[in-house]
Amino acid sequence: MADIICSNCGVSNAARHTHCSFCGQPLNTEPDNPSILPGDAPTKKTTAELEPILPQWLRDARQQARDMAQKNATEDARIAAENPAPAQQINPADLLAGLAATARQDESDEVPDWMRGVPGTTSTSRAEKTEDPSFSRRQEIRWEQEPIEDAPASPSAEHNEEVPSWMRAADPPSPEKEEITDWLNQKNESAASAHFEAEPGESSNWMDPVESAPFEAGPPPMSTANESAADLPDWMKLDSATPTPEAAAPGRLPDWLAAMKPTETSLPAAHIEPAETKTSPLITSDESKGGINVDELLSIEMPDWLSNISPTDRPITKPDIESQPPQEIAPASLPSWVQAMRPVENIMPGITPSASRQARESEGPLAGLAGVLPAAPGFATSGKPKAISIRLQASDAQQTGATLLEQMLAAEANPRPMRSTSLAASQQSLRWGIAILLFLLVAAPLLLRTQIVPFPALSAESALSQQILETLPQDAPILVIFDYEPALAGEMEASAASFMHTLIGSRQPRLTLLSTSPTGFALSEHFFSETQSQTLVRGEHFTNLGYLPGGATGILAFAQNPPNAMRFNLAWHTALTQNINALADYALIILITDQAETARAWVEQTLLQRAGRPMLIISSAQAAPMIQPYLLSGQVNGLIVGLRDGVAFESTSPDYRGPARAYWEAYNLSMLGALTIIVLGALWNGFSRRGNELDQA
Amino acid sequence: MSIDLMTALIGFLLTSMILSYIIGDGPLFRIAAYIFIGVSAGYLTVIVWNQVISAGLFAPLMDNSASPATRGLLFIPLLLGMLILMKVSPRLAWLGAPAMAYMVGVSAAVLVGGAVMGTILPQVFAAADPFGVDQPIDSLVTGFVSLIAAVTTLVYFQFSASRQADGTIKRNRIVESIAWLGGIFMAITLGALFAGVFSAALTALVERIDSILAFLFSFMGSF
Repeated sequence: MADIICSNCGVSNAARHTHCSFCGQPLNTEPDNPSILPGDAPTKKTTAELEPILPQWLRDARQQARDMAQKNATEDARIAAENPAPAQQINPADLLAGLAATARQDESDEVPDWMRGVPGTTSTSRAEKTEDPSFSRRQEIRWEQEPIEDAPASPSAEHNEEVPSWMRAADPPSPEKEEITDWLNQKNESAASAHFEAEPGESSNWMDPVESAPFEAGPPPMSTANESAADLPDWMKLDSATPTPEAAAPGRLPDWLAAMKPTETSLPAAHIEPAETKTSPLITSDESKGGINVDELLSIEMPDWLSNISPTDRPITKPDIESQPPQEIAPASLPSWVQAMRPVENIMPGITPSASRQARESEGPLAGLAGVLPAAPGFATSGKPKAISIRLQASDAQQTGATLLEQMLAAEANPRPMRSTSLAASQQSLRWGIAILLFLLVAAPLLLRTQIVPFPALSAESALSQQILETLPQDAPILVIFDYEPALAGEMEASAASFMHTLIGSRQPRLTLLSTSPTGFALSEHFFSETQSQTLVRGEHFTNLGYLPGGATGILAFAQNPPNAMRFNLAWHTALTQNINALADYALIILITDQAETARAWVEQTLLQRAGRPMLIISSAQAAPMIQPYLLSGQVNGLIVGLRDGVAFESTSPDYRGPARAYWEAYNLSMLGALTIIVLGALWNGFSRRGNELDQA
Repeated sequence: MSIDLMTALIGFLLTSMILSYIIGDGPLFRIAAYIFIGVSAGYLTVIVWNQVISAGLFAPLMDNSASPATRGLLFIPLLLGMLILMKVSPRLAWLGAPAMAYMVGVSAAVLVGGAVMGTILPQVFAAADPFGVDQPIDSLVTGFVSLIAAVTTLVYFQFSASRQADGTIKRNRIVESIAWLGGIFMAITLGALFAGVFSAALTALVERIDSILAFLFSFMGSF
């Protein structure tokens, strides 16, 4: 077959398609469907028009329902043909005659026992019944289109003009009416498995015993009427004298109905037979023949519609289902909320842009729809998104870095030959070689007692110390502070020995020894015992105050009031310190230290309390660069640095041979050797690094 | 064996054990180091107890001849010392907080006052002194060199930089040049300090070797 061209997107679709496979629009729908505007009244629609757009599962359900209904109708027709219904008697006020007609074809519901045998229920048992999972309950409500074939006119048709057809009770009983009454007279307790199936095409009017579809006129399917009689209530139990419904006397009213006094209101179409002792819950058509007034039976005022109930004489004819063509589901009107969900082309009131003037989407999920997107030129063009390249935009530097990283990662996989053994051996040999050389350079001059290197002259700083020494008076109180570590005792003793020897020898001062280090007391004792040739007596030549605790706080306390700071020190209470009441009473303060911090603390804390008294620092070579600014600023009056100035002072005293002169030769030779090793090592390192760079390049 | 020979022998042995570090960090070196640490700790304890705590606190407290005011004031350092000892226990450490705070406060005040009056102000005036009108030229040159060295050294530690167009982070060219000059002065300063330390250590080595040789000579001389 020729393909169908979609009028919306122009895509060719197969002939079997009802909707476009690309944009989803109906292929046969008219492009100019009027759109729904807010406020519009819902328009009447038929379900058949919406059939194509229903979901597939719903369409399948509907189709199954149609098939099932058709099948049931066929089955009913077959059963009816096998079991012709007896003549229907006219029973007035067959109140429940329409119950069977209004029953739904419900395959899952079970017909209660008291309803078995009702005309209209199928004679099929539960076992015979096949389950239909389809939506058998769904039955189209045919209020308008389902023409109901009226029964032929009854002799009492003149009454039909006043009474609705479904309420006509004056009509002579018809065979179909007899069917209705039969089930009233029957014992239906045994019909437990009978399903009450409604005939296809029946209306929902349960009150119309005539217009409804023909019921199943067959006898109760089960023969257990007598067996289940005990299960029924009393008013439903039938007399045992009537074993079968067929044998039941037609028109017999139930007891409850027979006991009722007929009302004065005559029912023109009610032919109710006198009630008998037989209990029957419903009034049968036979009972209506007796012309019993229902109102009188019930002794209550019955409404008109209920009073005028009477079976009609119209024959109930079954519609020829087989001959009827399968009815399509009539389209029903859509509720307003469904109509509102339809796409609105224009929400502006008063403006009804036609679909042809609005831009339609030609591609994408919204293809075929008009006015969905603003028709602005160049705005968010629909369609396939622009393909974005996933290639990274990397600069040259980044690419270079990435290349290097790859090379590094590749190099990680390659084992690098290790040279640890040779490298460690070379370093160990170098260490041994340097150690041996230094030992030789130091030991040889000491053993040989050579004096190749000349003695240095006094430096400018040490010359100031010489001047201070010359200005000191005799027997002047001098404070000597020993603040160095035992590790550098050799250097400090060599630096200070000559000056102290000269000071003690020339000025015979009264020395007060003090230390802010706990080891200062021992170091001072060792200094005087090892370096000074004179015999100094404690308490006569010097007094050793020992350890001054507190650091800078202790120095400040001593500088502010030396007697108070030393009041608990027994060494203070001697003749050497009896005239010392302030720090300014000392003629000279000599600080022997190897740390710049110690020198700074003494200089800072005693600057004001010295009142111009000179301060001399004998420092180690490692602290001299940090102490020299104090000398240049005038805060310190003299500075003797390390072994060099010690040798210089010693050279000025020909009668004194201190340790500095012995160390000087070894010191110079070892220093020269160390400098040579350092220079050679630096050159070697530079050349080797350069060679490695060239090799790598 | 005289005491001098014994002390000399001990000194020789310990010195030899320390010099064994040339071979490696062996047990001899560690034994000597541990002995040094232990002896130093013990000696320090004895000195502190003998010259500070006992002589400065307990003895005056127990001295009946001392005035009540003097003895009463001694309870303050006694109490503060006991509170500081509470630092040993984690639960009672909070008790030592006041005493520790007093110590820290006093030390900070002394150090700050001394630094300002004893170092900063005098050094600032001394740095400006070479630029006086009556100063000679060499003093002026020395002053300028000192000033340039101080400024360039301070600029060397200025790490503010900006991102360049190529993505690298660099300082300004002028700042980079000045920092380079400051680095040279810093290198000279560190070199001078290293030379002083090496000189002091070398002198100590010479003294130790001399003492070893003297012991050996005296030891052999005794035989």
